[in-house]
Amino acid sequence: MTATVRSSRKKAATTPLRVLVVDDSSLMRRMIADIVRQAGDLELVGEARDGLEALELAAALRPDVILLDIEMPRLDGLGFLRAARLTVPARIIVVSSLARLGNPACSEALALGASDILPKPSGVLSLDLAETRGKALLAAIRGSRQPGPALRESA
Amino acid sequence: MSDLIEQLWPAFLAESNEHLEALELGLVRSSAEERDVNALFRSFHTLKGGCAMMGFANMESIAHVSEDLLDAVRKGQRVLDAALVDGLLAATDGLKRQLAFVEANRRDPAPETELLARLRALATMPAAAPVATAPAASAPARAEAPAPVDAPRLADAARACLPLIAEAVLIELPLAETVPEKLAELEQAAVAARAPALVTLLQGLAAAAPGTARLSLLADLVERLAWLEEQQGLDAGTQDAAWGLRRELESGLRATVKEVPARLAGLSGGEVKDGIALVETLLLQSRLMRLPHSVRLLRQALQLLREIDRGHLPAAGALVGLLPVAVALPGELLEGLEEDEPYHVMCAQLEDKLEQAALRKQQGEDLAERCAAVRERFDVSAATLAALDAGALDRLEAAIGRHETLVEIEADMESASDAGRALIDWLRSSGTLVSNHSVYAPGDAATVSLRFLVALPMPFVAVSEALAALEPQPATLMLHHCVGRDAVAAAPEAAIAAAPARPAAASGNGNGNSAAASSTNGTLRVDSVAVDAFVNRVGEMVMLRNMMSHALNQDDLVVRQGRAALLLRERTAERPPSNAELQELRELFSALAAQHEQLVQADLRLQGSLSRLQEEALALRVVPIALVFNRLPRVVRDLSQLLGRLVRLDISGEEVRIDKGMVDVLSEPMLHLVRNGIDHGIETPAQRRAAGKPEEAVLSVSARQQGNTLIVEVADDGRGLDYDRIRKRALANGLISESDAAVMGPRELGQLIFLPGFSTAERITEVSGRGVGMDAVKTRVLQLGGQVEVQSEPGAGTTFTLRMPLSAAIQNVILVDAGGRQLGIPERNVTEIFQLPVAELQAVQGQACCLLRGVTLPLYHLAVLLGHGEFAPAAGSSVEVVVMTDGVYRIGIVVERVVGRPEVFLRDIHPDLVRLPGVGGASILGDGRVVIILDCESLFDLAVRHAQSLRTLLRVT
Repeated sequence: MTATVRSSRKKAATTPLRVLVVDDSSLMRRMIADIVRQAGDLELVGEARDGLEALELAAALRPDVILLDIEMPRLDGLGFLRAARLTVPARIIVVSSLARLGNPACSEALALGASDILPKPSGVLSLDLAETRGKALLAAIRGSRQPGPALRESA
Repeated sequence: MSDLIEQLWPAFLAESNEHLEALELGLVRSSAEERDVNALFRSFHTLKGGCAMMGFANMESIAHVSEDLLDAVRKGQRVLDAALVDGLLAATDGLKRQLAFVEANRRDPAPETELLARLRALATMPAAAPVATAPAASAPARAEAPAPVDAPRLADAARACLPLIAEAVLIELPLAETVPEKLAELEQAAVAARAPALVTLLQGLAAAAPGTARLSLLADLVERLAWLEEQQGLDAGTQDAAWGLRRELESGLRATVKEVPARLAGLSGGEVKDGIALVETLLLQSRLMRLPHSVRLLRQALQLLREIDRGHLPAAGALVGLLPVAVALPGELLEGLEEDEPYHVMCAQLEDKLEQAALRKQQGEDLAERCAAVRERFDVSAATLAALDAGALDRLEAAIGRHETLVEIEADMESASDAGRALIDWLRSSGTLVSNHSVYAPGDAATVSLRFLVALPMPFVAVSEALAALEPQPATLMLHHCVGRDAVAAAPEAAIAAAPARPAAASGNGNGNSAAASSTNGTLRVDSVAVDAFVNRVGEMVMLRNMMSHALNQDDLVVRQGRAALLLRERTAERPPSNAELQELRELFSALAAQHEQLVQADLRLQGSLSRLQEEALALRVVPIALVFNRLPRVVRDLSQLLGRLVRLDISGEEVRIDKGMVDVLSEPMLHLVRNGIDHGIETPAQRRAAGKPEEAVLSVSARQQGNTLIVEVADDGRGLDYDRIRKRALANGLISESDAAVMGPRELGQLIFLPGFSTAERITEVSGRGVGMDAVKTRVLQLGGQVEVQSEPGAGTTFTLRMPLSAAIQNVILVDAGGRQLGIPERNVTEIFQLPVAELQAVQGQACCLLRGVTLPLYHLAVLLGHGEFAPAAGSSVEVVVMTDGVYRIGIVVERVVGRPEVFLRDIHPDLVRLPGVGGASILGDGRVVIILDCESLFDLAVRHAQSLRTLLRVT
């Protein structure tokens, strides 16, 4: 077996994940954008205010990850997910204050190809929560590794 | 975080005002047709989100109830009648009042109790049935996705190509060679149909190597094509493709399902990572096999596990019981793969149950009861209990079960946010932070503070002493002991108080034990010795855990059992053991095995919790690099006056956080670099004018974090390095030979200034130029495990770049065997490791080397370098080569074997030992052995000494 070990410094130098933020609230866009920007390994490539803008920007910017709100004017998050099926290759993470299981919109979003669902950041003033939510959001953007084990039973 | 709040603040105010105005306008419109219910809903929704984000719970609740009311309207469940409009206008007015308060006071306003009650009453009023069906305007804003331009052609192409592509993926063929025309046909159809997502996926598939990632791309492709079937009623061949996949993947799915019970066993203990990986595997298998009901159910299960993992959902109760059942359900399907009918009903029911269980957990159906039970037994304030969510209650009940001391601590976070953070850190490292919520104290000097409920495994006296030590000042902390009701009689002083500035907040009898609250300024200070001791203890624990893990994971338990059984059988050949004896033996063995397994499981959990502890412990030592930078302006001012220079100092990145230990080590080098820049780099104003530069020079000092690396730059726009002079000086000082000097480029020459005993200054000045500076800078940075580089443009300036790891103490090492010893090489200096057959070893002018991707790599045997062995590999064998770089050169270190890559806690060792060439430190391995950790820089020095000349060292390109 030939082992190839790369130092962690090398790993950090890989191209950053390109992120598009979609939310009709400028406050929320700002907050999420800030979390994304502060992570060294992510690049914020754009912000869209609704689903239609998001479709345009996704086509133009080719992001790797889209952070998508559900409640938006013109075209909402679920409508965007439907349209994205054939047009947007990015991984889509729903970031919504509707994010609570049992909410039909969330089950629907998962069925429409959203890869993860997260609540919006909250409680910035109490220091603590923003940090944990920020961490959860970043972990979700970076994505879990591909499932490791072999899919077929070994002989 | 406080900077962020400053930035968000104007955005929050502007957005809230905008929506409140829109609401007022929207609500007062006279006719129902003119009201855009969706827009109204979204305004309240956005307000709710903003308030939640800023932490204004009492504003959020009003926006939330209003949002729910409008949601019912847009779903057609109720009518937007006059009463509702009035209520919502009142909500808008209330929010405006609260926003004005928030703008002036920057804290959560008092609750609008009456308004809230009025809105809640509206919500519980029997919903007036909508007169007509919901008007079109109130349908949610969901424009349907446009159909692809040429959907039928795409479906045709998919039907013709997808099954073959799937087959090729499945039997692990490279696609570009086996089905290129199918890929191309489908891609063309996708381009024509304006489906770029499919194009990207197909290109990804063609390029991907066989394996899980490629299967995942295939699953994605199949699912996206299925959209044509679901939405357009076309046949895109996904079922055909799935049939082949089902046949092939069935046994794999069965095997994965078998692992469910074992791998979801740790769920209630919060060990969910493994469960997530398992469900991800099952999900991919089910997606490939096109089992839509399994997929839906598994997605739901996966999401629940993630929520548990993120701590948003407690891992307890019905949910934990249901999850393994749901996850194992695809296994049922395998018994009758074609009869999907009863199966999908089961899936749907389970999905419902999961959602319900999760919802109950989140909404806290039984919370009130549990809170009441706690309140009966302990003196916890009602407000604190009311703010508990399910997760917090779980933590609280667990702590009560452990008989820990419960305290409420109220801290004024506004005037001292650093103090707050230090407090939180201490609470986390010492006990369980059950909950926190903000407390509003109205009045003239209205204040808002955070109240924490904490469980600590120590007596109350110890808590109050610890807090007193943490926080030597009275006005920020208030401590309240939540005494058990049955213990109150025994302990008359139920509470210890409190800030004299806030008598209203003082609770209990305030009997004068003010140890917890006595001092003078707004920062919490922790004795750095205590922090170091704590971090060291954690390091020790990590090592002990490694030892335990090593002992536990030796595979010989089973071997020894087998051996014991064999011995017994031999011993008893004449008198075979009775059945009862055999049975007892078997039971003994299996009990042993079970105990071992329990230990292994406990060890795994311990690992998780220890690594979190370790992270938190290291975070305790973190301070802003401003502590280093703050000394610089004064030095620059004094020095430029002394030397007659005009210098502007630009500092950026002072907020970057570094390990406390680095502050002292970095200070001297930074001062030296700045002095050096002004003394040697920056010209006098007259010289600058003559060179066509502005008279005022710029010296910029910056810090930034890149991953786990801290990068500090000191750059001047002065005259740059004088390479000719460096060359001459190095020759004169005997640092290089004539032949070296002839071939050395700027980069190598630049490195020379870091050599001991080198100085280019024509004169010895007061400030620098004694030739003891730059090498000291380099030594310091190397001590931190970092590197220094210098870049210079003659006439334009010089930039020194320091790179070092943010946390220096714990690091990964490559453990190698060399000359019969095990040694550790710090991983950050290693770029790669490869195996080299001895036959491929070459020698150039007596220097061993080999070709690595066409470039000659000089090789040094580690044992030879360190002087404890010979390099005499057996012909036909092979060695391992560890490629190292110091940022400039690259060398290969030859070892017999690479043993592993442990994470070690680097310890200081006896100073005499460090002086040995090549040695950087020591650590204790999992099995208790001490291992020497080598030092990259010193290895390079040794290599240089072994090399015939610098020329045999190759530059990193």
